[in-house]
Amino acid sequence: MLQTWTMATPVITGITERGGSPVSSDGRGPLAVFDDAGFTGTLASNSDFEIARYLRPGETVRATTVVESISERKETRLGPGYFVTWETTYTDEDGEVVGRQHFRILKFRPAGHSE
Amino acid sequence: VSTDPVGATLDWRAIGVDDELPEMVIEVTATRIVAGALATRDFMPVHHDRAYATSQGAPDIFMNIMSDNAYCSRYLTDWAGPEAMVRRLAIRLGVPVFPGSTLTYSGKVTGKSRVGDEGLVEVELRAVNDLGDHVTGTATIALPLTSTERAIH
Repeated sequence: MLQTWTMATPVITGITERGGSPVSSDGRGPLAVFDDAGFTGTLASNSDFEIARYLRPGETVRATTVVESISERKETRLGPGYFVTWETTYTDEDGEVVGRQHFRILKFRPAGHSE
Repeated sequence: VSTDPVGATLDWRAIGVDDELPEMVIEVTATRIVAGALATRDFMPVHHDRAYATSQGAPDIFMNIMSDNAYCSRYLTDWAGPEAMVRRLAIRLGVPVFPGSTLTYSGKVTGKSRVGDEGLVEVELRAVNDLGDHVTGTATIALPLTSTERAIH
């Protein structure tokens, strides 16, 4: 659920024009640089989460995400792309860590699409 | 689904390394894929729009990773019981899951440890379909030792 709560509010209109991105151009994250370069495809490959404790109603949780690594360009069966790994840390009001997730996706240029 | 979702919490002391978890089988439909993606607020069209998915080179829509986290968590807690907490789940995705495929989950206990009033259990798990390994991963489950002991004595 921690990850689900951090998913951007979708903007359905224009999703096709944005190459399938369900997020509007406002407030785009650092991954937008890949989309702008034609690497519009996204495929998740790894998730590794740790949950320290359950949350209680009324708590406020903060999520901080840091991009950990970006691979060299790889040729995959889906097309050329880059593996991007980030770490999201979830903290409570006291700054105590309640959860942490490492997540890896492949940002790729769909086969048949030009640079 | 072949597991009983309403069971008692396992007694940590009765779990042995190399114990196998009962299989869980999920018949995957397009509805299940779409429902899982949208329930986890994942609106990437490859998880709900077949025409879009095929334009990206996939034969159909396919399951999103957050559904995998959910099904793996459910697989673990269906086995370990309502008081079990999934402390860690690390998964790697292999082949995709398209509508019409059957996912079969299996798992095995690989380790046990005791930390304070909790019993931890390490599990190796896997979900396969007709294309091969869809999910391979490891998990750590915490079981409350004190309530287990209260229940026994």
